[in-house]
Amino acid sequence: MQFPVFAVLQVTGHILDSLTLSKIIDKIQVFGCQYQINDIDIGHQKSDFSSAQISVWAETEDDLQHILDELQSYGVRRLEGASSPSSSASEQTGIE
Amino acid sequence: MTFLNSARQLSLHPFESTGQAHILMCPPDYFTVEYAINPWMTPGTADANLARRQWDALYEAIGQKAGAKVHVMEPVSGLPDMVFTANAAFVHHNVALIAHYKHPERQGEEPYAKAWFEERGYRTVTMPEGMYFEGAGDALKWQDLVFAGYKARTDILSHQIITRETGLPILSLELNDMRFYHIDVCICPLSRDYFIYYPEAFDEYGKRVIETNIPADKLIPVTAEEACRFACNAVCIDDTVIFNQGSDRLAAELQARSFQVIQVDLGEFLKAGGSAKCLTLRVA
Repeated sequence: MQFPVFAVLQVTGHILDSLTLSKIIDKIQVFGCQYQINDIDIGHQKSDFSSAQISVWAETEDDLQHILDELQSYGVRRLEGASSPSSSASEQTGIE
Repeated sequence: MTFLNSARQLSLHPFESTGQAHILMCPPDYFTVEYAINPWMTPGTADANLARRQWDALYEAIGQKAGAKVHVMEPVSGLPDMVFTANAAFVHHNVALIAHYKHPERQGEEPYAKAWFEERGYRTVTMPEGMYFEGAGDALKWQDLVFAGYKARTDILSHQIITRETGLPILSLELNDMRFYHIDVCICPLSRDYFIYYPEAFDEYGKRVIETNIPADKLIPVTAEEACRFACNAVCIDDTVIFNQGSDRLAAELQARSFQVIQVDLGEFLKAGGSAKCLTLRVA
């Protein structure tokens, strides 16, 4: 299965304690997309924010737009101009 | 990512030195169900005279029976939901984060809330345009945490602003059932760390967040029937808990835990999708 459509997403907030990051990852998978967590910055204090950068691959532009629309309510934004990492899901399956 | 600058501007508000709970209410002079912005509303169904008597009963319960100081703000013609002061702001010490309503029908209330707080020495914070936040209707404190709702009426990004301005960590809870469109219709933190909640208002993630952070012996779940009678929309002042009538089972659960319970008929306000907690805002 090929996943030629790609985007890099960023989310910041209380995403760990609120299980928001888990929900985002689960929804990406439910939508049939592949993903890779590029980076996680974990806050040290309870009031600190955490952030995550996630690469997402989809089969079609429509699929990608659907997941972007779904994830918008979780504060996820797309990073413009990001390029696909060298180990892309179009060459592999089941990236975590 | 640590936000300290705004949180350093926190200080106690003079109201907090009195040792008394301070509650903001707005009389129902212009209350009616004029439009429908939640599933409970059917325009034209509220009895204004009965609503007034019910509001007066709540006012008495809070001020005289529970011993709080009640501040009354001036109602405004054309703003029937201004009676629901819970949404006006989220207050922490001398900071008031002013609501920015999702629905245009309520946006007219925003400058009145801002003026009320500024006239009393609060530092007010307004949300960026396009970012919705419905005040203490969607953000409730428990210990040093804030349980905050999002998606139905409030944007999750507003939670970051709450933390930035108050230093309080947030647990964000998604609200998908439009009958329970604010967090204060789904949960109610009580004194002594007790916590009323309606589990089925939340998805599995939300339930897990609540049940992980609140000790099991402090959790008090309500039934679907009680939730639909807005039992979670309760006002807690010290060990007195005030909510809409008709939830005797919950009342018994609370009394067994040494709470004093006052049930007030607020049926006219349920027709607008609000109840005891919605009609009040704790400002100190």
